[in-house]
Amino acid sequence: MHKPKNGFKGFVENWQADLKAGFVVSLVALPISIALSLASGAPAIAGLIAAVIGGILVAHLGGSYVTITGPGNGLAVVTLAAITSLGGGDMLAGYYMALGAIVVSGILLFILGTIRLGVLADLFPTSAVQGMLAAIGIIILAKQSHVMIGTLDPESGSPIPLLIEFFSSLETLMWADTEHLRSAIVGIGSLLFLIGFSKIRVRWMHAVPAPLWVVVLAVLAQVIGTNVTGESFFGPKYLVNIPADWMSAWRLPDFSGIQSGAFWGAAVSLTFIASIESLLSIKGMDRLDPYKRKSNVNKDLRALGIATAVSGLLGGLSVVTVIARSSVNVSNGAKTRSANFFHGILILIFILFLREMLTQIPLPALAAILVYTGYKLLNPSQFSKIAQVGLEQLFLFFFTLFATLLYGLISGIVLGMAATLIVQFIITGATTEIIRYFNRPNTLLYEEEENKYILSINYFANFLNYPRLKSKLDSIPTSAVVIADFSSTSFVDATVMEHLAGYVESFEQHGGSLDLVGLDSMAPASSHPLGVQSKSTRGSNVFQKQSAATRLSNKQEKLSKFAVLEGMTYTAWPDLTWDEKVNQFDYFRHHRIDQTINLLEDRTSRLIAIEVVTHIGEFTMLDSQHMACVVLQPEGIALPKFTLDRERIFGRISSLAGIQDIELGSDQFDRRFNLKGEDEKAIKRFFNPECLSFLASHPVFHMESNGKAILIFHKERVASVAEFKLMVSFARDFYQRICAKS
Amino acid sequence: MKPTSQQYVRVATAMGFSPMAKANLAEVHRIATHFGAQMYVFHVGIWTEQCKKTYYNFLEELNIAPESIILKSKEGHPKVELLNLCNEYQIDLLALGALIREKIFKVFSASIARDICRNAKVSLLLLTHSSVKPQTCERIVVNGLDHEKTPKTIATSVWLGNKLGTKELIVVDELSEKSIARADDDKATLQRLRQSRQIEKAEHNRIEEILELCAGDCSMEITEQHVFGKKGYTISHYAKAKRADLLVVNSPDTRLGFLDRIFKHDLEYILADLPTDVLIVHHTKAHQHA
Repeated sequence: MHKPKNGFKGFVENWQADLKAGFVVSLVALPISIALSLASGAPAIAGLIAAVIGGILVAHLGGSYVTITGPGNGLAVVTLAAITSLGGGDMLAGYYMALGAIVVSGILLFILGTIRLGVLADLFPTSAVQGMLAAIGIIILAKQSHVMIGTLDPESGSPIPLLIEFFSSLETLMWADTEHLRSAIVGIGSLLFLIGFSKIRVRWMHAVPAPLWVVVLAVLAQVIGTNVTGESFFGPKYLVNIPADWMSAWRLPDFSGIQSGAFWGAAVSLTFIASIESLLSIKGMDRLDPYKRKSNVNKDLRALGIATAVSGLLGGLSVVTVIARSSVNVSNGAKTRSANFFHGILILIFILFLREMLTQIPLPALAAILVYTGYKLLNPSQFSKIAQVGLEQLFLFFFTLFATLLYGLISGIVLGMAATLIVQFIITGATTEIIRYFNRPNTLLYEEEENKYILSINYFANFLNYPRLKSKLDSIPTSAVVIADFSSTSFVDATVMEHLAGYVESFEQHGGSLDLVGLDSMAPASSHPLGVQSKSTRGSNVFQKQSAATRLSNKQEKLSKFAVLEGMTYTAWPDLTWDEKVNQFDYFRHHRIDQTINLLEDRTSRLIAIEVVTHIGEFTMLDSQHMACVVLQPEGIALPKFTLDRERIFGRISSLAGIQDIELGSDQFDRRFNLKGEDEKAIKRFFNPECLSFLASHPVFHMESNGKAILIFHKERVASVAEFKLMVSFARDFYQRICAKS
Repeated sequence: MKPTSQQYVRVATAMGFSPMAKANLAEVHRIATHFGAQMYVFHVGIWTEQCKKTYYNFLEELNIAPESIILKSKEGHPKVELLNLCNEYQIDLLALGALIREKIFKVFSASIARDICRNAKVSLLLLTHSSVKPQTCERIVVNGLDHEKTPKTIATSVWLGNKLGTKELIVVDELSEKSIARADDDKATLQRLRQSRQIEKAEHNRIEEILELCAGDCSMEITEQHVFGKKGYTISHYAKAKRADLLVVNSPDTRLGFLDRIFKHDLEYILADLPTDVLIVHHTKAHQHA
C-alpha cells in the first residue's frame, strides 16, 4: 500500500480525506471536551482550549500519524484532584494554580521525551494498567452520576463514598423541584440513548456521532422547552457557562505555589498520567493505522509537552493523545496528521461562532456522556477476558483498581506493580533470580543470515526487563525474519506475552515474521496464549513430562494443523518409548535426551519428526538444547552406514573416528558435503545421481544412518514452525528418491 | 607486525577436594598433553595423608603417571599463595574449576576462582564442565574488540584451536549501540540499519587484517559475527547460545574491585554467569619482549 507522504506534500495530497475525518472528530471532541472540563472542575472553555492547541501544535510537531490530541479522561481525574487540593476549597483559585502545575508538567513531559523515556509506559504490568484505567472510569462515573440526575454538588470527595451517596441523591429526586426533575430526566434519557445508540438500526442516525446527538437533543429540549413554557427551561446553574468575554478574561496561571510540595505533587501526577495515557493511546493507534506506520513516541511526547505548556498558559487543560477520538479519526478515513490539525481549527471555529449555542447545553447531558465514558473505561466485559489469561491477572486487576480508588492514581499503580511482582515470586518461585537479574542485560540479537535475525533471551522476561527486549525488537526492520528463542528463559510473564503478540502481528503485516520458540517446554499457568509461561525452576523440570491435558502453545497449534494437512498424527508430549527411536543414533551419545516434544508421525512412509531437548556434559547440567529432527526408517532398501554433513557436527562422535571420507566424484557435491562411511561401494550405490541432484538443490541437512534408520536435522537449535515444515518436506522427498530407485 | 600468540608451556591447576576435583585433574592433564606443556598441581593448605591418598588414587584411576606432574603444596591464604606459586614457577596458564554461577553471597565475598581472575597476572582458564571422559573442543568463540590486546588474543585462540583440534572459530565483534541511531520509528530503523552495515563493513576489514596475519595456515573454519550490544554480556550470551566449548577473551585492563561486581561491566558479566569454559588471555611482559 502506498503510504501517505509527510509534511506539506502529504497535506496537499490528502487534505480532503483529512478534512472530512477532522470534521467528524471535532463533532465528537466538542461535547467531550466540554464534558471533561466539567469533570476536571475547570471552566468549560479549558477543555476546548486543550483540544484546539493540541490539534494545532501536535499536528505540526508530533511523531505519530493518525492520533487525535486534546483533554483526556485520566487527566480529568488528576486535574480535579489538583484543583481541589491546590485551591483549598476555592475552585477558581485552584484552577489558576492548577494551570501553573499544567505548564510545569508540560515542561516535564518535554524533558521526558528528550531523554527518551517514551519506553516508560511499557514498564507497567498490563493488568495493573488495566486496573488503573478502570479505576479512572469509576472515579469519573462516581462523580458524574450525581450531576447526571441533577445533584450538582454531592458532599463526598472520594469515589467510594460518592458511589454510596448516589442512592441518597436518587432519594432527593422524590421531593425535588421541577427544574431538578427535568435535568434528571434529560440526564438519564441521555444515558439510555447512549447505551442504546449502537442498537438503533436507522442508518442516517449513525452519520452523526452519539455524543453529538445527545448534546443536540438536549439543546433542542432546552430551546423548545424555554419557548413553550415561556421561562428558562433549565436555570443557568444547569447550563454550560462560556462567558462572552472569555478571551479578554484571560490571565496568567498562578505560579505562587511553586515552592510547595502539593504543587509539585500535582505537576508530577499530571505528567505521569499524561505520559501513560498518551503512550498507551499511541501504541494502540499504531495497531489501528491503516498504513502501518510506526510512531516516534519520544517526538510525540515532546510535542505533547509543548502543547500542554502552551495550553496551560492560555488557560487550557493538559493535552494528551486520546484513543477514542483517534479511532473515530481512523474509521473516518484520516491519512495524515492534518486531520488532527483540522479538528483543532474546527473546534476553534465552533467556539468563535457557536458560543451562544454551546451555552445552551444542559450539564446533565454532558454528565451522561461522562458516565457512559466512565463505564466504557471500566468495561466489565473485560473481566472474563482477563480471567482467561489467568486468575492471578484478575486478582491484580482488582487489586490495582481498589488501591487506585483508595489511595489515588500514582500510589495505585505503584502498589499494582508491587503486587504483580509478589505474585510472580509466588507462582514462578524465581524470587532470587528476579532480584538478581532484573537490571542486567538479558537479550542477544544477531543477524544469522542476511535479513534473518536470532533474538535470544536469557534468565527471564517480565515487565521489569521488558524495555530491553523491546529495544532489541524495535531495532529489527519489520520485514525481517526473526526467531525469538526463549529456550534459556525460565519464565515469561503475561505483560511480555501480550507485547510479543503485538510484535508478531506487526511483523506479519510488514511481510516479515516473528517466531517465538522455546516456549513449548514451559507449562502455561493458564490455558490462555498470553498467560504466564514458566519452567518452575531453572532446568529442573525438563525431565518431567507434561500431562496431555495441558494446552498447546502457539507453535504447537500450528504444528498440529500442519500434521492434519500432511495426513500425519501429532502428539504434543509423546511418551518415553519415542526416546528410544531417537537414541539409537550415535549423535545422541553425546547429547543426552531429557525430553521429547512435538511428535509428527507418518505411518505409511515410516517417517517421524520430533523435537528433542538434550544436554551435553557429565556432572553439571549445562543449559539444555532444543533441536528438531526427522527419523526415517526405510523398508526393503539396503541402507549403508554413513554420515553426511557440512558443519562438522558429526566430527564429535568418537566411534566414527577412523572412518574415511568418501568422494562421490561429483565436484559440486563433494565440495559442499562431507560424506563419511565404512562401506564405500554400498554408499556410492545408495547416493545415485538423482539423489545427488536432489541434495545439491536443497539447503544442507545433516544426516546420520546407522544401517537401520536415518536421522535428519537442520540446525542444532530450536526450529521455527517454517523450519519444521521445511525439514519434513525435505525428508519426504528424500525418502521418495531413495525408495524409487530400489 | 604479526601478532604472536601466547605459548602455554607451563600449565598449573589448583587441587581442592571438591566433587569436581577428579574431573578437573583429568581435563587439565588432557589440555597440558595437547599443548605439550609441563603440568603443575598446586595445593594450598595442609597436605595430609588423606589428601595424598586421594590424590594418588585419582591419578591411578585416570591412568596418569605421577612423575609427569610437578606437585607443590604450601600453607597460607589460598588466593595469595596460589598467585605466589604461579609467579615462582613462571606459570603461563592457570586452570581452575569454577561453578557456572555463584550464590548471591559469594558474588560479593568473591570465591577463590573468581577473585583470582580479577587479580591474576597469568592467563586463566575457568573450567565449568570438566569431564573424566575425553571431550573435544569443537567450537571456540573469541572476542574481536577494537583493542590493542585483541590481535594477540585471537592469535592465541588460533594456536589453541590448532592444538586442541578445534573445527570452528568464531570471532565475535561486540559493537556499541551508542554509535548508531536509535530505532524510534520506521525512518530511524532504516537509518540504523544503514549505519550498522557501514560499521560492520569497517569492522570486517579490521578483523580480516588480524586474521590474515595470524590465521593464514590453519585448518579451522573461521567466521565473524558482528553483534550490537553491551560489551562483555553480549559475547557471553552468544557463546552460550552457540554452545561454544570455549570462550576466549582479553584480560581486563584494570584490576576489578568490589564496585565492579555491583555495577557490572565487561568481564564481570562473563564471570557472573559463565557460559562455558572461559580463557582469559593475559599478555605477560616477558612474552611481549619475545
